[in-house]
Amino acid sequence: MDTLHLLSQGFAQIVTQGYLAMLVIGLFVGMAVSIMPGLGIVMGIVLALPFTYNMKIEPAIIMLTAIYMSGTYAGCFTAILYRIPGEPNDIPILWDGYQMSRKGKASEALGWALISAFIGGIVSTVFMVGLAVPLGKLALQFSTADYFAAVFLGLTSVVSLAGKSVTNAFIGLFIGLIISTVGVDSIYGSERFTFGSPVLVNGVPYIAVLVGMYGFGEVLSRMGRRPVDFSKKDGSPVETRTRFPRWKDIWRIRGTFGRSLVLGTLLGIVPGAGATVTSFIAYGLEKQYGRRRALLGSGLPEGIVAPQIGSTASVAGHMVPLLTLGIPGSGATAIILAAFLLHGVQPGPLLFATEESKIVVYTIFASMFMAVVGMCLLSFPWIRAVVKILSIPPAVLAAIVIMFSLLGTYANRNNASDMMIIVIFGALGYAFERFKFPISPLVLGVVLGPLAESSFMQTMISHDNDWKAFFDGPIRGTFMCLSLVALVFPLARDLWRRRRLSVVVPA
Amino acid sequence: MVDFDFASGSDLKKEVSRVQLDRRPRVWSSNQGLRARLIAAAPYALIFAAGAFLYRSADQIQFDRVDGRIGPDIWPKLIILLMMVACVWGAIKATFFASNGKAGTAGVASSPEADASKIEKQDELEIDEVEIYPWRVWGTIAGAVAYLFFMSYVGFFVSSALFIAFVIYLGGYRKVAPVLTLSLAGSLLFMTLFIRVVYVSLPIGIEPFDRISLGLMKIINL
Repeated sequence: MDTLHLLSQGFAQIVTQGYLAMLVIGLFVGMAVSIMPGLGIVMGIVLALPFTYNMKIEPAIIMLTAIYMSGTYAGCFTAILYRIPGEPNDIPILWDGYQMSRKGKASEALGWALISAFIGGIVSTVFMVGLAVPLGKLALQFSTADYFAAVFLGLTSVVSLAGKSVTNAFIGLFIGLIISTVGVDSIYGSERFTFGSPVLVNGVPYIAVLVGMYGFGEVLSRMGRRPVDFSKKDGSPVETRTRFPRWKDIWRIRGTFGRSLVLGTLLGIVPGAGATVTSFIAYGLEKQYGRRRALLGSGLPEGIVAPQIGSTASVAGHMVPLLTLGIPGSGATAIILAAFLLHGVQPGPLLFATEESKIVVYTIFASMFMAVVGMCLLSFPWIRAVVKILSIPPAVLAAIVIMFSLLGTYANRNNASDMMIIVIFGALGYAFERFKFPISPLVLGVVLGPLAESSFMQTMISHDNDWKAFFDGPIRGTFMCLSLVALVFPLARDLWRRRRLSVVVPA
Repeated sequence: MVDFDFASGSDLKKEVSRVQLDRRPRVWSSNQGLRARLIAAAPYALIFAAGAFLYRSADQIQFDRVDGRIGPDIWPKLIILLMMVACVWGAIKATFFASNGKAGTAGVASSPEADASKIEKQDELEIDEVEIYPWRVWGTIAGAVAYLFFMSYVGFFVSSALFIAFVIYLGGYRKVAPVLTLSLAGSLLFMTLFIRVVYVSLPIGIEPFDRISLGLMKIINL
């Protein structure tokens, strides 16, 4: 009852305080960046960040969350219409989506994507609202050791799910953690790794790292590649209408809806299992257990529904650990965490401690419901605009992104040296991409590093340097065991794959 | 773009055979092989060297030591050591256990994760584009450094217009009139946006460039 009351207050805040405009802007920005080649959800959130400096915390987070939410949906337009995925999580959608498009059923494919995004978004947000309060109450009992264990779990699971090379992901994470130690230490007040430079005394600004790695670095990588061609090979006009599926068609594939909803919501909570991983696994699950699994890939609605529900549902799942524990599970939520910190708010259990802060949280929850509805409504006119937006030359887009990246970071502290830091981290981001090192672990290391270090140091000091302190409680013990699972998981996965490989084709 | 029949068993078998071939230990018999191994291990060696340097710097962190308490050097040292261990492991893997980088995902049949991995692999084939213009990358970095260096001298408007034109031209868009229009309009738009909306004071430059900046600011009422 309390939850519903708070949620209604959240809705009222959005309507009465004028936050709706930020929500709509966020939805449009999310939809734009997710379809444009060279841009992406994370970059969209990064580029929007400077415009939130002068806002209150609620509209700032509402706008960034709306970008995140709509970004997981709109990329399906280009996947279905052009066979070019807007975001990596849209790749499974293009298998069946584009096949439907080729058969002249593009409007139906767009309808299935829309209905899936709507259901996935609404159900997972309901689940998130229900889970946030008990998790927040539990988190209030955390000691510094528990907190360190929770952060440790967040970091290890992100690394284990980061990509092909766990070693590279770990190296990225360690580099991020080292970057976070630059500057004056908070406990002893001693300078670390400043090398006599006054610019580094206050540390490396994490905004510059985020913008450099995701914004400028991505542009550099794109500059070296061939631009994407969006022209229709046969010169035919692009179908931009949306036709909703009939109720009986939806009911026929209720199993797909159910499976993907459960999977998307649960995987969303796991740090590291972002929209892309969820989308792929949802498609794989459908391929394994779907009624028409043998025909998947030939243009079936199930091939659109499963990945779209999976990716949209994961957004709400990701917000749970961010809001209740202050632990981001993905690049996008790391930037949303940065936005919280820029406004002087530390997400975590204390957000649920006072009535005032609870309203902030429930306003964000309410905005997510409205974001789901809004993105579905806006998608009708938006698909037509998409076709025009795609004609912007990539070189012009690159110049715009670089200017936003540099000026956006400069605006944070009016410090010209921050722009040079962006260029340095942009080059590092490019090198990471070039040598197949994942960027997200580094960014999470930079953002979570101070929290990890302070909880580690406080625990060690208060427990007389006793390492066992990190394991001898139920909460921290559980987190540490889960961390161990996360660390062993990639090894077990590789072994299991090798075994399966030898079973499939005998040597 | 590669057309891939996800449901086809024959494709899967071909894929498995290819993966098995990929998984055989690579025979490095030529100088080229040695060079490739060294290139693959080079990033790890570089990061390891940086780690060694930072570890030495961490040893020199000054603080008031308290008996029985760990100092501010412990946490960074711990992280640096872990990073160096990971680098050693990465270098060993790259040097002695190098596969073609495609193993471990495609051959697994009939499981959600395997299918997901297989699509992911296909995704790589489709969207993992090869870098063909490295000079554009280095040009952009050099341009950005020059832009930041000259901004305080020539002012935001002039330096931004030149930099935008440079990036657009470097990016392969070569129509002179639109490039000039876009760069001038873009610079003016960014100036207005960041002064009016984000309330940032941008560099106006030194004589005679400051007159351009101030004149423009007067015209657009900033």
